[in-house]
Formats: sequence, structure tokens, C-alpha cells
Amino acid sequence: MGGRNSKSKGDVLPNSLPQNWPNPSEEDIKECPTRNIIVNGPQGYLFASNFIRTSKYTAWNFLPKFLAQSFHPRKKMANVYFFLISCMQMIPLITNTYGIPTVLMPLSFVIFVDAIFAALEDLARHKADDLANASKALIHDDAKGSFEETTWSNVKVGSFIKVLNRDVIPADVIILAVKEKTAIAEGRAYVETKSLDGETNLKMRRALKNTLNEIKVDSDVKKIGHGEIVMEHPNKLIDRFKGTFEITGGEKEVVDPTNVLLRGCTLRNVDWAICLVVNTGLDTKIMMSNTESPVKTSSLELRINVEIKRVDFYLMTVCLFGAVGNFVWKNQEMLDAWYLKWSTTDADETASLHETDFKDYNATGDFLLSAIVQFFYYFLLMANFVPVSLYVSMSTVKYFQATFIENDVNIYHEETNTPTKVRTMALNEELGQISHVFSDKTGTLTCNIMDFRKCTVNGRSYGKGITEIGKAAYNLQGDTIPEDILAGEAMSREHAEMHKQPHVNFYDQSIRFDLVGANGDEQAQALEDFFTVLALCHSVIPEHDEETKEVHLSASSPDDEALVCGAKFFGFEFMDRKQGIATLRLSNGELRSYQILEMIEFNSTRKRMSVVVKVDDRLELFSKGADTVMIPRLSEKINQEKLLDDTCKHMTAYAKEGLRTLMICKRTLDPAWWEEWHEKFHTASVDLKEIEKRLNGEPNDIDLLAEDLETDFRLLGASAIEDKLQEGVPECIADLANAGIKIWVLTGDKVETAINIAVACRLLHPEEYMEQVVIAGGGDTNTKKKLVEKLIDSIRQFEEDVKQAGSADLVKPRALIIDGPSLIVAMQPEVQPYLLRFTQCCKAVVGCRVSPDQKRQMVHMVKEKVLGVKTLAIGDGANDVAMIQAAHVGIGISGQEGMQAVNASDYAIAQFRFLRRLLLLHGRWNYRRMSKLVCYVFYKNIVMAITQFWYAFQTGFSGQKFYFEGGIQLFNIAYTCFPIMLLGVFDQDVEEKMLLKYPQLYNNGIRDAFFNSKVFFHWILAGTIESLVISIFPLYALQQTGEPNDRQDFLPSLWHYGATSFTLVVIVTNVKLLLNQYTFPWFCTLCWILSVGSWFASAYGMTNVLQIDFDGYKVYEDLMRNHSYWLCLLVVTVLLAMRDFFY
Amino acid sequence: MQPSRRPADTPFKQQRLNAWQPILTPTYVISTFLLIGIIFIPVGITLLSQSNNVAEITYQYDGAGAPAGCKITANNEGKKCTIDIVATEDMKAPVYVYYELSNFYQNHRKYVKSLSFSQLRGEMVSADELHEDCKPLDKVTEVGGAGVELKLNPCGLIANSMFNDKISLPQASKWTLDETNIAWESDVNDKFDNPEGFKQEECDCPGGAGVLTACTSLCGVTFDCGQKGVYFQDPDTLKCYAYEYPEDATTQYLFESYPLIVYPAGPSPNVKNEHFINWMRTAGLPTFRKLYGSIDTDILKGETISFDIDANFDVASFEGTKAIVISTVSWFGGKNPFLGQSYIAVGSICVALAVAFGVKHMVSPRKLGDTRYLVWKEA
Repeated sequence: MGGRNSKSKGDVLPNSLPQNWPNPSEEDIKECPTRNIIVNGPQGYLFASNFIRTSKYTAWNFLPKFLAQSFHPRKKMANVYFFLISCMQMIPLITNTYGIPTVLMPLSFVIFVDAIFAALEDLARHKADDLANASKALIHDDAKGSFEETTWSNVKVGSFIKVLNRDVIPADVIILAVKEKTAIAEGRAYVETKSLDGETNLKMRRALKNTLNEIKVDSDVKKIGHGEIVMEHPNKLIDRFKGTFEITGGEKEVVDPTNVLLRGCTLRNVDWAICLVVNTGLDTKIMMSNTESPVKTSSLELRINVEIKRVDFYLMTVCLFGAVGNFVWKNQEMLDAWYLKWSTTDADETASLHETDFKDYNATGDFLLSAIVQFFYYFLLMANFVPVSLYVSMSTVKYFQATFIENDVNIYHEETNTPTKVRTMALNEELGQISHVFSDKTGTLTCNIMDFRKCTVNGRSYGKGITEIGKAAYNLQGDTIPEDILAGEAMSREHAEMHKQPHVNFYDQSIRFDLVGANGDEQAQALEDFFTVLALCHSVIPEHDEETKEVHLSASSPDDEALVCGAKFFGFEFMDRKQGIATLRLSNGELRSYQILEMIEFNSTRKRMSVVVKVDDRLELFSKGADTVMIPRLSEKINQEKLLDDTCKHMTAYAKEGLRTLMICKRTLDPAWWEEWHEKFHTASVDLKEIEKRLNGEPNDIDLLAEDLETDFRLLGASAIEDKLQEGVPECIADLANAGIKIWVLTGDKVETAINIAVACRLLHPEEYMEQVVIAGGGDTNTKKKLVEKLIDSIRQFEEDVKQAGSADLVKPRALIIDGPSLIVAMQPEVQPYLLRFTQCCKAVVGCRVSPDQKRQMVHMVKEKVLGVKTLAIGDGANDVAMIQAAHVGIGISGQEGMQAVNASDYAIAQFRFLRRLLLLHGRWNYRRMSKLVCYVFYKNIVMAITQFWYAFQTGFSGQKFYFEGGIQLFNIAYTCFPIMLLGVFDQDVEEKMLLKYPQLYNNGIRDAFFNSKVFFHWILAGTIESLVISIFPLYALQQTGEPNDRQDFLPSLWHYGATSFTLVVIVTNVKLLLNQYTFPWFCTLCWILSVGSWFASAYGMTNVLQIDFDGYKVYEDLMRNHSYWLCLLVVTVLLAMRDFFY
Repeated sequence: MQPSRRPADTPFKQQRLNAWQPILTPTYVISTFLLIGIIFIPVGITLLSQSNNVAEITYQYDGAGAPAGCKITANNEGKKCTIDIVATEDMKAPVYVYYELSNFYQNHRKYVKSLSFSQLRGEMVSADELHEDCKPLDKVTEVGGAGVELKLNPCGLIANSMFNDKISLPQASKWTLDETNIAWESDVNDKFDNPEGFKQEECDCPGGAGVLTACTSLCGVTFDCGQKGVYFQDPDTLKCYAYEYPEDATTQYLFESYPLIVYPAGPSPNVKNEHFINWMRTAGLPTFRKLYGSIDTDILKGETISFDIDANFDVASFEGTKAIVISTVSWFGGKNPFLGQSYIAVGSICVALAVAFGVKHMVSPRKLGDTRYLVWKEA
């Protein structure tokens, strides 16, 4: 704290945050290492207000701030480019618009549209902010000694607040006391964290022990006396909290995450909680963790940037040609043109043209300068090469495409009321080009709704029937499913229907007989133990509905929920867990209580969970966990090898069916040993240092002590839970594979389970159709050298097969199955190229036992190292976030496991099978639409701009424009703007039915068939050639023609030729659009007619007002009377459309 | 329970709108091409014959290859000459008389932009603005004066490079050349106007001394007859006018630059002059014609029509040519075979393509919707 505590400068308190927040240096932190909050006294520091502002702009700073962003030199290249052009248009020397920056008009339109979107977005934020700031909170009023209602924005650090049941918490607070629904005060509160992490299950929180019993009524908060909280600085880690709470003269108490309620969570299952505010406003964890996900750009847009450079080069070449032409022509041909008065000296300036001889013009040097000026002049004349309108058109079209995706009723999930959500509309077209799909398994391919399906207890397997995955496994081996399995399932079905329960799908009556001793007392006891463990060893929170008296289970793990439901099914119903007493209701209605002494929770490194329970006078340790961690911990003192053998056999069979297995064990503890152990464990688990180590995944005393406890197990059996495949997954995967998409399934499951699920999904096929290369389980592939050898071998074999068969299509397809540990080796730089090469030979890749980061690494590897791939990652859980963000397109399943995946995703769908429609239909449509749009927008602008260049050959390369300026400005806004946008939103080259029936059509996207350099070049070339015809044809066709009425001069002028060419530009580009369009709903046709018609109308209108166009005054009216004009339009249009029509 | 978020199942939202989906079947393509060919070829033939019916005679009288009679080497030479044109076929009235210039870049950027709209519309424009608009020609040194600078009105390259050869028919000619109504009415009425302050009044000019009296009597009364124009007698109509231009002493007006063509007063004074107005509409190509007048009587085959030329416009220096063109018109204007030819050409291509495509279709027909074409090969 040091000097920061001194209040030298009057009343100004020092800031509670270190200097240079949010990126303090180490020294800054050293100077201010902790956040100190005074309880019941004036604060020594200044804290952030709880008034929040997430909005970016205010009414006052919107304009300057938004403009500054719109002209950011790197992020908004195009805007800056056009702004420069408009500046150049104001330079008299090179302007072609009489010094008026006409490009500003479309540019301001673009920026205006952007501004509207930004403003709307910000307005929504303002509203949300206002709503949050004005929410009601109860703050303790020191004077009145009670809690008074006020708004969230008035909540201050150090104040006491009272939160009622189902209230949203206004700031990060420490719970001091709670009023529970039960009479006994335990200090337990429950919290729903949906808005924070999207998880819907309740989480338990506790009040501080020191204050829990001190505060019973509102006025008690003053009685606890003066104190201090010392805690870490604000951070965004939502499951971390480090601090101490100390009442002067009292005992120091550690504050951990379970004592803290975070802003945005909802309090549940208590009457009220009195809390002390510690973090407010921007310092709260929810605000700190509000980070923007990485901005993704579609490959098509990246491609555009490359093409823009080429187009720019083309533009420069044209300009250079014009400038050189101007220079040469001027020196060779035009020097004698007295009517152009080349000399610029003062003496000559006053000389009349007809009277003076202009032989003494200036030296060539000036001409060179003028050639440079000419270059920029041409540059301006053809600035439309890079179209202003492209980006507006693109984002508008994408917006509507996104709307149509979201409104597709076929990818709306009725059961969960979830439509598809487009979160990044910029990637609409990327959906049509996906070459690799990386899919999570649980919750993505499967429902993540667990059903208790089978179990093995004391070496006896219960549960009949077979899962879909199991059937697929039989198919894989080419076997038929044994009759008795099917029969057993049918027999037991009736029984199962009678006792129908959620999360249980168990077909076997014999277990009930065995429970009552049909197979001996030993078996009955083992079954009882088994189900008692299931009913007690879990982290499910029961929620009592007061009205219906029903118990609702809230579980963070669906596995736990299924196991508890399974136990209930067999008469071991978990009722409640209060004050360390868990209550079970047995099938005969008897309530049985168990005292729970300790609980060591499940995590991904431990892979097991344990509870210590006092049963009568015995101390029992109940555990469940993955076989890999449980088997080494089995007791060797008792003979259970046969049992283990049987159990393992059963578990392997379950795994083949795709069931998730857990081993169930127990251990009887010696009370004396337990006392000693418990003391040590307690010391370690409140030690901040140990907690810190544990959080960081370092070795720590807590885990070591847990290991001491969890050993010497007696095996009871194993449970098997089914995670059902989602509806339509196999068909979807088959279609995606047919579309040429490579599918990688990345899962944490065991190799056997993963293979069987992959088979059930039709990702893998039986051996005779597909060669499976399995790299797993260490052994022969655990060294780099061996792995490389195996990969090279596989590649060579594949290539030989291809050589023999003649085509890659005729070879038996390959699949790679690789597990996490092997991947660690395979991802090393020396091995990676071979891995990549082999995966390119494979139709499918299955990754087993992979960690979230390995998922990301694999996506990253394919994305970076394989040329031209477009990756899509799909997942539903927090462990998929890294992968979703790494891939070109991230898709979240809005389902069971919370919102993190969805929040990180670009598209959120409710079911995996929707992917088929999203990619094959919307993706492909949108890819083609965007490709056409981009090509067309470039094409039409090139036709328009370069026509003027061809005309320069007639004007001595002077670059005189011959269009009406108004026409040029309206070209991209009115004449050619809307039809292409409608094409971009509505056009369907292949109808829905066909696209879904023939997934092969998708392959166009993977091969970049609709937008690549070649296609783009073709469009540019077509534009160039067509503009040449458009420019030259009227010059010949219109000569000497006109309507000879009243004997006035009917001959065409510069502006007549220009207007004719421009009409042709409008018609030819619009006809080109028609030839690229497949479907014509009535409004497209109408829009097309209006667009073309608007040129005629506006040309007539503009040239009828002297003030708008002096040069072109009445020219268009005159031109319309000229028959040759119309005849010329027709013949040129037919000539140019012929080529496209013919294809 | 939250409200259903099920999207509406309407044809629009589900992208299942009824839409016209033309399928380019071979038959459709072939018949379209045939149809176009069948329409285009006769249209082309008609156009071509229309063009061929136009009688057009061009006589080049200056520039390389022209007879020496009318050739000049400098501007404002004032050489007078006569050219004789023999009609090679009957020319039905009205016969249009054009002058044609070649290698004259009226469409040059420097040239096109060198004018002041406001000034042409009769507004008094500041010298600065004129300098800007009319670069590089807004002032002139008075001819014969003591280096006095005069503002040009109208200023700019176009106005001050006006074609100033005088073309006329000899007094004795059988035909008359009508030089009125050759400019667009809209131009005459809206686009060009004499400066604010210009006024004119017809006065009696019985000839002799009376002329002076009749017109000069207006001086000091309604006209400020300064040192310049006092009155003007129109050489064509022989009518007399008193007139006054603003800032006359410091300005060189169009009629002063081109006294032979442009008159200070009369029915089309100064910038209302129709030759000038036609000149001001810049041509699109370096070889161009502008209407000079029309002849109302037929010229029969074998007849010779003579034109008197007062040659002032120099084309030799920039290697251009000058010509007189007399021509009749068709319903689409003058002689132009190009359009007819292009219709015939495009029509023929269409027919040829239709035939070629038809043959191919007969030999190896591709069934529509053949899914074999959907198969893709992995590269």
C-alpha cells in the first residue's frame, strides 16, 4: 500500500487500480498489489462507479468518433481511397468534374449506411445500459439502519446490499449472510449463472462463516463492526477469486469463489442474501470478460483484395498508356493545332487565335509535366475501376441472406424453439466453400442427453437391447445381430414402459429380482451398494418446487443426472442434501439419511469423484471414475481379479456400443486414519497457495492428499450411459461426404467408442469398403520415427493403389483414427507434413481422446498448411470454443451444454443435421450469389469506365469524357444497383430439391469454381471487350444520322455519342445480369425494368434542365428522336448478349 | 414459456417463390437465334437501301489534295474563290449544305471545357471567373490598339476558333441558300443570350445621308452611341439597326471577331448567330460536319451548283481539310451504310450459329437434366 494511502491532496482519493490499468507494468502492481475495501467505514480509495456504459458513442461524439473510425487507414482502405479520389477531384488541374468532388456522394452514402448500422447497434447498447443502470437494488442505509431501494448505478464498493430470491445481482459481491428456506442456517445460497457462462444448472455458494451467524436481520450489518477486505485486482476469470475478509479483532477468513456472487447471475433457492459489494461497474468480472471475438473475413473477400490489386494494376496500365499516348500524340500531331493554343506564356495569352502564329510553344519539359498530370486525370476518369458500391452492395446483400437463413423453417428446431442464428453474416458465402468439417462428438453428433442404459455389478451384466451404435458395430464387422439380443430387448420393453423415467432407458427385469435376493444375498448387497454409490456420489443439486412438492434435479453434468436417475429407477431416490446430510428414499418409502463428510469433485485431470459418507457407524468412501484411473487404485489386498476381468469385459462390450462407462468403487475407511487425513486435507484446501497451484494445474497438496484417500478400492461394478445420436446425423454426414467435404470427428472418447460412433454416423465404413489406419495407444507409434514410417507407408500404399486403379475415386477410401497422445507426437514439425499428406488421402479422420487445445491445433494446422482449404468447426461446449474460433467458420450447437460455443460461433444451429441445409443449400446459393455479385460489380464498372478510355483514341488522348456527369454518378446507385442485389439475395441457380438430392453440386464451392482468378479475369476481359464495342460502334453507327426535322442541325455531337454509349453500358450490363440470373420472381423483373427505365427517365430529365447539364442540354431529347440511336442499341445489345446466351 | 420463434412458413421467407425459370434448351436457343437472324437481315437490307438512296456530294476545297483555288495558309486571309459542284444524281429538296472539317479535334478536353456557361447565357461574369473557365483564352490585345487588353465575349477556345469561311451562292444562282433555323430552337432560346444591357432597335435606312440621321437620332436618347458601333446595316436584309453593348470599350464581342459571319444586330445578333450556336455544340469525332444551310429547290442530275467562298479558316497548319458537302436525307438522317451492314452481319452470324448449333444438337444431343454431368472428379 505504501504511500498510496496518504490523502495529501485534499479529498481526492487515490485510484484503487494500479497505474496504467488495464495493462499495468510489474512495478505498477508492486506499488499497488491488492484491492483494499473497508467494511463499515469510509473507503481509502476511489472505485469505479457501478454506472456502466458499454455503448461506444454518445449523441455528441458520434460524428467525430465514427468518422475517425470510418477513415481508419488500414481497416477501411476503400473509404480512404475514395476520399483521396474526391480530394483529387477538387484539384483544378486534373479534375473532370469541374472541381466538384462527385465521388463524395456515393462515398457519403456508404458511410451513411454504415453509420445507421453503427447507430442502431449502439442504440441497443444504450438501451441495455439504461435498463441495467436503472434496475432496482436494495442498499443498506446507515442512517435508517435498513435496506432502501435504489438503482444499480448507485451501488458502491463497500456498501451492503440485500438480494432477494430470483433477483439479478448488481455487482460482484461477497455473501455475508443468507436466509435459507430451511430453518437451520448453513449459509448456502444457489446461483444461476446463465448470463455469464450459459449454464443452466444451479451452482452452490456459501456465506462467509464469520458473518453468517452474526447477521440475522437488516440492522445487524452495522454490528459486525469495522473490517477490511484485501483481495486481488479485478480480472475476467469467472471461476477465480482470491481475497481475505477480516473484522478488526476477529479471525481472518479466506474468501474463495464459492463466497462470491457475480454481477449478472441470479440468486435462487434462498429468501434473501446480504452481501458486501467488492467490484462495481467496469471492474466486475462480467464486464472484464466482455471481449470481442476475432473478426473473420470470408475467403471470397480476401480473394477480392487480391483481385483489387490486379485491377488497380490494370487501371494504372491504362492510365499510363493514356498519359504516354497523350504525350506522344501532342508532340507529334497536335502542336500545330492553333485552336488549342498550347502556349501559356503571358504574351500569348492575350492573342486571338486566328491572328497569331503559335509556333513558339514551350519546351518539351512542360509536356512531360502535363503527361504526369494527364496520368492522374485518367486515374480520376476511371476511378470507378474499384467500385465504391461494392462494399455497400455486399453488406446489404449479406444482411438479407442472413435474414433468409434465420427464417428458414427447415432449420428451426421445434422441440427447443430454436431458429438458426447468424452471428457473422460476413461468412455467408464461406458456407458454400467448406472443404473440411471438424466436429465435436458429444452434444454435436449426439444429443448429450444421457440415458442410463446398462450396468455390470459384481461381475454380472444387466441391461438388454442394443444401441444404434451397437448395431452399426455389428454391421462394421459384417455380422448379423444375434437374435437373443433383439428378443431380450423386446421382452423387457414392456417392463421399461411401465417404469418410464427420464434419462433411463433400461430393459432388464432380472435386476429387480436380484435386488431382492434372487441371485443370492451377496449379489443383492452388491447391487444395493452400487446404487447407493450412484445416489450419493454426484454433484447434482435438488431444487424443491414448493407448490408441487416435486424435486427437480439441477446438474452440471448430464452423466451425473443420468446416474442419479438410474439409481432412482431402482429404488434409490436421491431426495435432498442439506447440512452434510443426504437423504435417499427407498422403494418401500423409507427415508434413509447419510452424513456426507467430504466431497472431492470431478475434474478432467482427476477423472473421478469421491464422497466420504458415514453409514451407521462405518466410514465409507464412494467413488466413480474412468476405468483408466480407477483400475490402478483397486485394492490388491482382496481378491477381485476375476471380478475385474468380468467387469472389464463388460465395459469393453459397452464401449463398442458407444456407451459411456464409469467404474464404481468403494472403500471402508479406518476412523482414526480418516481423522488424521481429514485434518491435513482441510489445512491444504484452505491454503491459498495450494488453491492457486491447483488452479494453475501444478502439483499440489490437495490432489496429493486426495490420492492418498482414493486408493485400496473395492470394485462394485460399472455403469453404462448412452448418449444418443442426434436425429439425421448419419444422413447428414453421408451427404456432406458426397459433397466432397472431408469430415474430422474430434472427441475425448476412447478409440473403440469413437470408431463405433463414427461408424454409426456413416463416417467410417466396414473394412471391406474402407481402409482404416489406426494410430493409437502408444506402442509402435509413440516415437517420431516410427510414426513417420507408418505415415509414409500408408501414403505410399495409397498412391500405389491409385496408380493401379487409375483414379482416386476407384480406390478403397482411407480413414485415419488417431488418438491424443499420438497426436502430440504427430503435430511436431518433423512429423506434421506426413500427417497432413496422409490426411489429404483420407475421406475421414477420427481424433480420439483429444484435448480442446489439440482440437484447435488440428484446425489450425489444416487451415494454415493445406492450400485452399476452408475449415468449419462445429461444437457445442466450452471445450470447442478454441476450435470454433480458429476455423474459417465456427458453428455452435445451441443445445444442452451452455452458451459459450454459441457465443464464440459465427452461426448457431440447434441440430447437427441442419448443417446439411446450411452448407449444401444456403452456403452454395450464397457462394454463387456473392461470386456473381462481386464479378458483376467489377465488370459493370469496368465496362463503364474503360469505355471512356477507348474514346480517348478519338480525342487525341486528351481524356475528354463523353458521358453526362449525372449518369456516371447515378450508374452505381440507380441504373445497375438493385437488380444485382436482388440476384445476390434471391437467385437460385439450382433449386432446393436438386441441391439436397445431389450433394455433389456443392463441390463447385470447394473448388472455388464460381470465384477464382480465372473467372474474375474472364469477367474483366468480357468487360474490356464489350466496352470497346460499346465505345466504337456508336461512333460509326451514328455518323451523319439524326432526325432531320425543321432543317436544324441534326448531326450527332460529342454528347450524342456519349449518351448512346452510356445507354449501351446500362443496357448491356443489365442484360448481362439477366443472362446470369436463373430465377425471375416478379419483383426482380420489375426492379430490372425500373432500373433500366430510370436511365432513360433521368437522362431525359437531366438534359432538360440547363442548370444541371449545360453541355448536354436537350441532347437526349434530340437523340431519342434519332432512329439510328434505337437501332444501334438493339444491334449492339444482341451482338454482345449473343456470346453469353450461347453458353 | 417464451413465445415460439418458429419462422413463418411463407413462400417468400422460405425462398420458394413462384418465379419464371427459363431453361435454355437447345431448341429454345436455336429458335431464338433463327428468329433474330430472320428479323435482322431484312432490317439491315432496308437500312442499307435507305442509306444508298441518300445523294451526297463532298467537295474538298482546302487541305492536302484540294485544288489550289481556295487554299489558304493563314487565318483570316480573306481569299475569295468559287467552287463548282456537279450533281451526279437528282437531289430532291431540301438539300442540306454542310461544311466538313477533318483532323480538327473539337472533342479535345482542353477545347471542350474552354467556355463560360454563364457568359454565354448573357450574364456579366467577373474577369477572374472568365479566366478560370475559359483558360487559356479569355482576353485579347486590341488589334492595332496601343496594347489595350480586351475581354473576350464569349471567351474560350471554342468560341474563338469558330469556322469563319463565308459560304454563299452567287447572286445569279438558280438556288438560294437558307441559313436560318439551322440551330436548335432550344439552344437559341435558352442556351445563348446576349449580355445584359444589350439592346437594339430597327431604324429607317432609306439610304444615303438619311440613314445616319434616322439611326443617330436615337443616340443620346435611348442609346449611348459610344465610340464603337453606331448603327448596323444587315447586308442580307439591308435593314438598319441601332444597338448598344455593355462595356463595349473594354470588350471584344463575337461580331467584332467574326464580322463576316456574325452581325451585331438583326434577327440573330452576336451569340444568337446560328452558325456560332452550331459551332458551339462540340463534335464527337475529329472529322465532323456542321450544317451551314439548306437549299429549297431540287438539284437535278448534271446541274452545276457554284458556291462563293470567302476563305478565312486555316486548316493547312494542322494538316486538316475543309470540304463542302451537299446531301439529301433519309428518315434516319444522312448517308450511313454502317448500321445496315451491321444488322446484316449480326443477323447472318445468328443464323450461322443457329445452324451450327442445330447440327451439333442433331449429331450429339445432350439430354436436359442429365445427372451424369454432376459427377465430379477429385483432382
